[in-house]
Amino acid sequence: MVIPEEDLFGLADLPAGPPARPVDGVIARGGRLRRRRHAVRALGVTAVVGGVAAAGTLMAGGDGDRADDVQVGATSSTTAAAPALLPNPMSCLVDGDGRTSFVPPTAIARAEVPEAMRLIPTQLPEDAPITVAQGARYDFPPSDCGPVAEMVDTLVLAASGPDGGVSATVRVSGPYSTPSGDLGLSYDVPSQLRGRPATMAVNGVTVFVVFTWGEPDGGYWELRAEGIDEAGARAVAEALQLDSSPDPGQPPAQIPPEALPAGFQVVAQAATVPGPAPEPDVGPTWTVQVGESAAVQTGFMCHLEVREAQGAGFDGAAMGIGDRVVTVGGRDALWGPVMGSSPATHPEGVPMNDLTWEPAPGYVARMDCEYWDGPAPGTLPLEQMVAIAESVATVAPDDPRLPPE
Amino acid sequence: MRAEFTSFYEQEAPRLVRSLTLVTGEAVLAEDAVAEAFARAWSRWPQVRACDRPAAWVMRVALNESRSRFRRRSVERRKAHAVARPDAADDPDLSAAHALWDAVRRLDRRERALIALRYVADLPQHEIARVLGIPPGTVASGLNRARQRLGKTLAPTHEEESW
Repeated sequence: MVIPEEDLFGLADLPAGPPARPVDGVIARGGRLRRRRHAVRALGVTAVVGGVAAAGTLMAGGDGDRADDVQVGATSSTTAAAPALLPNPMSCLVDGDGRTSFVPPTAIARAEVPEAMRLIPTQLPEDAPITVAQGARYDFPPSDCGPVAEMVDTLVLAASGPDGGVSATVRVSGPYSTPSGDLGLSYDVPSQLRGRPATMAVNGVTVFVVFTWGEPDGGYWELRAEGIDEAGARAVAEALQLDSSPDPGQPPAQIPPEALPAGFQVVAQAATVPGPAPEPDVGPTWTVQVGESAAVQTGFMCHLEVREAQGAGFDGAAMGIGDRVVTVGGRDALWGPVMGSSPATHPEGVPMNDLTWEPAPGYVARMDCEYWDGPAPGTLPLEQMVAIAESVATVAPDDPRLPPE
Repeated sequence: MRAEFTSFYEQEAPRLVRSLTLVTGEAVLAEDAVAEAFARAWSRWPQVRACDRPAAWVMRVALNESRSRFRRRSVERRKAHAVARPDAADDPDLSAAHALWDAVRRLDRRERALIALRYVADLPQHEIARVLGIPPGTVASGLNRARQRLGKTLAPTHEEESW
């Protein structure tokens, strides 16, 4: 019982939502992007030739320096003029992992995937075949913006719900030398925050609030809140203690304990201002799928992805709504909703979760396993998922359990 | 060159906005992201126009842009019920399509993306695999799974249908 394809093509016949923007504005924006890209390249040449200290710091990202190795803020003046901060990564084309990943990945031979990543689950509740075992490599084009600050949540607050999962978060990012993005959301509205002009975006459906603003010391900040309303987010923002050039040992963003909203706690706090973003990860990835081939449309399915770790592991900053910290192999792991999922995701209305853990130092694995029908549809229980995760083992490229390459 | 880009934009932008609306759940976010993606296409039009399918390139950029707008996990964790349905509820000829849209919006993000790229953006499966960075077989099985789930959701409307 499936929906016919001709019906699905009918989706395209529905009236579009808002009309597309006038092409003149798009072309004008494209022209600005092109000029900015050329300007960034010119800036790079100037910095190398001139050896200007500040510009050299700005370009350090090209050498792969990490944020905690570069005390950007320590070199800046405390006057309001121009702290030596890096451009806001939000003004650039970067996706959730800080990559400009619109170049499709390249499939690579299994033998090219590091052995430590070449994992398969060995203890599954069903004797389902492995239908996909694929290595890939991502290559990333140069950023349109040149070196930008590393994506760092300078301060993260979180509250837990009755089930122990995260029920609300507040993330503070900055300080940056530029505002968050130069386009903004269509429903951005001017606002006031901390006695200064600010931009606010409130999504009432998903209970998502964003504030962006500039501080008198020249640093730009952004606050994103999920699970609390505008008033709650605004109260946190007003109480923040921010410093774009903090003394050594002092974090750039703090909140007095008495200003924490009820139920919230500080789960992550950056020790320094964001430094240059590291080069995009171009490492390999490994994907395994159990069951659910084109010929098997029901029953059990398991999907495992392994990649090289980027930055910190599972600290509080990584937690999102619904996540719980659990233990896999004696190390912290995250258990929470599949990306973009909701309790209505599964046809039976069962919440869909996935497990993220470190199968080996330097690697991160994400796995979801579920039944699409049967007596217990939906994601396997956490205990079973942990057992499967702890059962993963490396395989040879020509292991007979893998499908033909 | 500008006329060529304008024609490309006018032909593809509405379809891509509709597709991304289905994926992200927000028409305004989709429109922003698609506009930005087309702007980036224009900023490097000689390269983009040489692609096999420039619309797929734009869709890939728009998908990334939509993610960057709300950054990291936040945007991924939007609730499926937030997916907006196009207006025109008074048109009885579109009632079935509206019901289908409502069913699609309850799929998870990955399946919504597959449905949107295949049936709204009209991309072939191998292009969808490139856009999403997943194996072609995963596209095929994911689409089949999504169609099956939609069939269940919309039953008995489609109960006579079969593979």
